[in-house]
Amino acid sequence: MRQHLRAIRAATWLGWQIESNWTDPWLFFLYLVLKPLCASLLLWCMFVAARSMSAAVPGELLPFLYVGNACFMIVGGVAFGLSWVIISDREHYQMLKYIWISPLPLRSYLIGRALARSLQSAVGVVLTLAGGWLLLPELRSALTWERLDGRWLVAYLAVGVLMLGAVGMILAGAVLNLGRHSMLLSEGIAGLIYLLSGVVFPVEVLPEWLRPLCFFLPTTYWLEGVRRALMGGTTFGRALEGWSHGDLVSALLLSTALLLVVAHAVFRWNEQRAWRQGRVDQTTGV
Amino acid sequence: MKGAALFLRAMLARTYPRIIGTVRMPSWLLQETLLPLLSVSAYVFVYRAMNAPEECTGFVLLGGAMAAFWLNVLWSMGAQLYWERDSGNLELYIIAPCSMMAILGGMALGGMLLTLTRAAVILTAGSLLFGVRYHPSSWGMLAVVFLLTMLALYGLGMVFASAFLLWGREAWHTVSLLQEPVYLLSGLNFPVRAVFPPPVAWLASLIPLTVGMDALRQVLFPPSQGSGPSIPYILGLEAELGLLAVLSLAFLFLARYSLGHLERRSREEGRLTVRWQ
Amino acid sequence: MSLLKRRRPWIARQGIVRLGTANPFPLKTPGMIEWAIFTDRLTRVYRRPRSRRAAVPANEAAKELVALDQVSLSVRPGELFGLLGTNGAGKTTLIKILTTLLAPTSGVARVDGLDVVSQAALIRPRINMVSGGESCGYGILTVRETLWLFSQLYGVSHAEARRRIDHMLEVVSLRDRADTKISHLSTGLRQKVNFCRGFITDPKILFLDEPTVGLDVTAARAIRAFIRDWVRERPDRTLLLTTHYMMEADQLCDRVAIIDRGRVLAVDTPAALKKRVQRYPTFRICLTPGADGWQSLGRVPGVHQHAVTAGPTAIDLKVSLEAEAVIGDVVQQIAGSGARILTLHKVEPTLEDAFIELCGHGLSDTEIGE
Repeated sequence: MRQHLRAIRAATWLGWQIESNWTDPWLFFLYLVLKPLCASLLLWCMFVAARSMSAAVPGELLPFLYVGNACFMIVGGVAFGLSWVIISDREHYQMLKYIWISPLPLRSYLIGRALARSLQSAVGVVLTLAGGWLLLPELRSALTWERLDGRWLVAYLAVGVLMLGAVGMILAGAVLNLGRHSMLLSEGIAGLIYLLSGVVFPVEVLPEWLRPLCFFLPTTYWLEGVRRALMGGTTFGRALEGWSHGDLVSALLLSTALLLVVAHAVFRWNEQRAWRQGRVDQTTGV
Repeated sequence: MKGAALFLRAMLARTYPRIIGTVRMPSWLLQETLLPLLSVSAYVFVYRAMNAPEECTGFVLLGGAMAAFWLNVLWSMGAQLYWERDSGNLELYIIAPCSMMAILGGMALGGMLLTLTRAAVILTAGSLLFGVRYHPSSWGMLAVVFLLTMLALYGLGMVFASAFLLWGREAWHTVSLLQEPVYLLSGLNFPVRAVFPPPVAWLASLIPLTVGMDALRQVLFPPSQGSGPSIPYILGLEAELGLLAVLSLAFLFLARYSLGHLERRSREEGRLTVRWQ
Repeated sequence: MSLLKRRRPWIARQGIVRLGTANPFPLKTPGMIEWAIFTDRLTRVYRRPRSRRAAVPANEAAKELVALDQVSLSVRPGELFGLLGTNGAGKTTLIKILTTLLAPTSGVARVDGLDVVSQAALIRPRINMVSGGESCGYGILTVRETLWLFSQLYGVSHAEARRRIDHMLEVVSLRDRADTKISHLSTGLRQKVNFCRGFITDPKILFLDEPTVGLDVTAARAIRAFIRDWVRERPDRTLLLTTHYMMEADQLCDRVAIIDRGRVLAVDTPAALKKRVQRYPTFRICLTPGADGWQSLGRVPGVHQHAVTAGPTAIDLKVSLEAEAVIGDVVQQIAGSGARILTLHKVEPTLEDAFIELCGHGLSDTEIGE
């Protein structure tokens, strides 16, 4: 256990150095704020543009999509951070082979590295929400201390990190056996989750034949839960209207438990396969 | 060998790995078509959730297609030199007698195949999926606006690439940092003037993508289209064309100057061969 | 001054460059050689960023690192010239400057009569460079495609490129792998492809930076033979080779420069360098145990020094003489005293002896970070 913790600590430190030491702290801070804030403000611009052209734009959609988009950063940081570590360490820094032969447990190392990225995403989420709160009156009225449900938020975040970590581990395992362009896989999954989890629009806007897929994704429940814990009560979406916090957390716990078992098996199998096929130190750069 | 012939030879040679890569790794095609379509679809559904007019779906598809070129400029031209340096190719390109503009031109041309495919798939598949119809006021004008936008955009890409000669990981992150703010300022999915006040819109027009997309929107969704909403634009179409022409020339000249200047500085500071930075 | 400031702002800011001074070694005056490579008091100083200074011990945390210090070298056309030095001695820095990759801090560097700072574009069509231990190109291209790509950057016609590629692949025994993707080659084979890349553009002056490092013995031998033939094939071809393999430098090079901590300590033929370390001919004589004829050797006229190591099975005697002919008297003296000579041979100095003599340390003793 101590070895795992040591690996995680060292890898987190290394990850943070890689993420942050490329520039002066002020530029890094700007990077941390500007990138996610602009991505979220892009949606606000669409909202304003639509309003200038049509009177039927529902005002309560703005906090829904802004908060959803901000929280999606955590999905990116945790779930896709792990597979990015495999690619950058194997193809770019060419260090994966040394980690592999060291006594550090690979999984702990990956978790540590992804933790640094997740930390960065978490800071990004907070700053984006704070920026939105300062800039947008609609968000100020939706995000208030009275509406915030701290206990449920902590519960969602804890289960969510585990759930996303398991997804990340499955992806990292798959990427271990693919080349540099396997980021395609992570990006594809990210795109699907963004489209089908009700991140920036309620799932009932999707064509009817797509909607059942949304309910298979644990991220749909997670985002709905986090939004409710942040903004209080029900949100703009109607699809999970009848679900209480308890229902959402139970569904999340169940799917997370299942995902953790699958992630353990998939990663182990992929580790063995990569070793057998000699893919631990392959570089496929072009 | 004459300068122009060497330029052409080098440019075509550097185009080759990109083209052949597409053929040998068909997964790229998937990456360049299906994945962008997912995010474009998400934005379309955002407008649908807002009950926005149908034109907005067209804006999203146009933005998705044009973003492909912006991403190609940022990552396949600018950031590519970062990878080239790490793999040891950059120094070989520098000591070769051909111009760096030829190498960058080759990268752009090679990337263009994929980018055009990506843009075409987004426009056609998106239009079919979401039932968008375009009524361009003039096909000729559409082609002129598009070509001028490309010239200015790739000129800007060469300026970015020159920055990569001097900065490594820092430039990588800076380019990454530029992605979203430029989407925002250039009105990727919305008409800029519908959101920003005139001074901000004029300032944003210095980004070729902003003025190019605004002009394309004017051609593709002309006001005479019928009972559609009135869409505000930054400048008139002719003025935007003029601005695009000026930007194209300015960025190409700037690229030529900055490539020479920053290559010299990189040689002085010994940064051309630094790796894993 | 203002013109130079505009052209080389960083150098001018450092105030190191000798602005406006006339070149004391004009490139070509009637009756003089036009050097293929010429450097005069060439200096390169790396400035350590503040952040990196904090990471090294205080005594090493200087603002600057002098990688090349007043290096003056002249290489004739047609010469195979070697640079011998430890890791970090400045060999690669010198090659980077000569191949237009790095600007000098001060001094002059000319390649084929052209200045590396102001005439870099004119130098490039005439040169090429191969760094040992490295690969080139893109994993997705085949060996043949990779070499073709680089030939095009130099404007080589397709037919000529094909001919040269075939020839070079034959030389490095890679003909059967011509259509294999680079990503499927081993590190050594990738290195061979990179080696071929340096030659397919038919450069007038070629820079080889540790070309055989990491290669197996057979491949290294084939490459050495090819290098020698390539230079001899045409009198105007020049090759500058850096290596830390003494044997390689000894076998290949017409002249060798020994470089240590950025300074050139000696430039001469390998034979002359070896001769420098051994002014007195030296012999090693092995005697039967218990023999004592060697004790009076110091009295033999012409014996400069002698040293003895007595072991249980033999006595090892090392004698240096003022002239080679004195060995007869030495043998007579030993034989006359009743001792039996088991073996006798002349001790030949190596380039490594010369290196140690000049640098004060061996090739593997010191590493200087760049």
